[in-house]
Amino acid sequence: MKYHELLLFDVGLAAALIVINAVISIALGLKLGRLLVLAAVRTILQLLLIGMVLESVFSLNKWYAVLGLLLVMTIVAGISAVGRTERCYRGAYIDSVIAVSCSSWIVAAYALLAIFRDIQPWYQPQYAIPLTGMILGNSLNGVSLGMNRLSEQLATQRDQVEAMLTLGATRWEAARSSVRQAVHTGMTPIINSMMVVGIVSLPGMMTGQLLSGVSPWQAVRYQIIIMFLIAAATALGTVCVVLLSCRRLFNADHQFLAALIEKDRGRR
Amino acid sequence: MRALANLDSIDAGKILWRSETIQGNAIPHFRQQAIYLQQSATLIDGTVEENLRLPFTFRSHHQREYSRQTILPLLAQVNRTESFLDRSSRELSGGEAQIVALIRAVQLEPSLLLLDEPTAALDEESTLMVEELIDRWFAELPTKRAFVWVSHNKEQVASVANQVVTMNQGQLTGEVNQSREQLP
Repeated sequence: MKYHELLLFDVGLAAALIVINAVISIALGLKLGRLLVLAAVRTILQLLLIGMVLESVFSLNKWYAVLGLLLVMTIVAGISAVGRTERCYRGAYIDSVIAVSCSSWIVAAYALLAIFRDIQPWYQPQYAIPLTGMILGNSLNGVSLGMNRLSEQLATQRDQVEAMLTLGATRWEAARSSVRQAVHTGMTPIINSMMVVGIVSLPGMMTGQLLSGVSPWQAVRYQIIIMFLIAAATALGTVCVVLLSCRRLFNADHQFLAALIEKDRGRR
Repeated sequence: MRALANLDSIDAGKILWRSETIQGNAIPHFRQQAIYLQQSATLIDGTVEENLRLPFTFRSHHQREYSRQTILPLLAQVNRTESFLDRSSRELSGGEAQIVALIRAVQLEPSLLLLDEPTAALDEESTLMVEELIDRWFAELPTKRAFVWVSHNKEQVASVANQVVTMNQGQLTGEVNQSREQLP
């Protein structure tokens, strides 16, 4: 297992490729110049910054440093899940952070304590951080899709939901079909990607492992494990956020609080 | 009206049902006895019969079962035959949908109907049918049943009500008692 060490000079050679984008922008009058510069600078700065953070967490190699970083990543994931929705409701941020953290931490714990049980100590950053990171990213996806769909569904089907309530349905019975659809929507992307993984494109993690000299057989095993981890986290996160949202959008008196749903926030 | 059905919370005051306040998990059970009918009927996708079966899928109606035998006389009353049950709810006119929603409610034998302008959007014929269905339901047990009927139509008020409360911009402006002309 060997990989080629990169020099900063090599990185510079790659960064020079931005000239291609610049030439295209100028030739076609796209006026993307400023954006391109900004994007290039952000790419470099953000990655260097996370590199520094990771480098220090890796060299510190303490459980509190690893957990601290994971906690920050979890909260950022929970917040950005809400940022991606078009409709949401008051209290969405708390629900989203709870759903993302419960689902991801349960699955990550299973991965680190059961699947990677031979790794000592269990918090070894080399495994804990990338695994949890990938799980978080996918759970985030399911959470934001599920939350968006549920709010959408309940807001547009308000009359139906209330018609059921007036006939003696409980809040869960009235929300049942919306809940089903929301969970379905949240879980569809991961099922789709499980269907085509390896055929349409090589997943990022596997590609990275191949580059760093891992044998394809091992890389594939890792990828299979990851697919199941993120599928489980997505399912858990989606169900969790949909149930939490329901609890918030209906009160204990089985009233539907439609006014809580904020309409048509522009996509950020 | 929505507050009476406990769909919205009230700002002040109390609503008593059989001298008790209703809250929490007692509410679905309460709504099963006091059914609120929306101004424009909301039906689920599917046939008329699937709509009539809907309430029986809820836990609060678990002890009861849907019965076609209960429905057929009600249908006959509005000049519909059994084949009406197989119509898709999407094909129904506004009047027919309101009739289905009303039958869906009265088959549950509620003690109280909360009617929020149930005929406001209906033609004359459907209006008569709706009035008649409500009348029939009430007449079965006139001492145990009641309805609250919001209406802008003075003639309708005169023919259906035995107690009239006038409301103007959220204020009660007068209470008139009148006996119903023809109690069935």
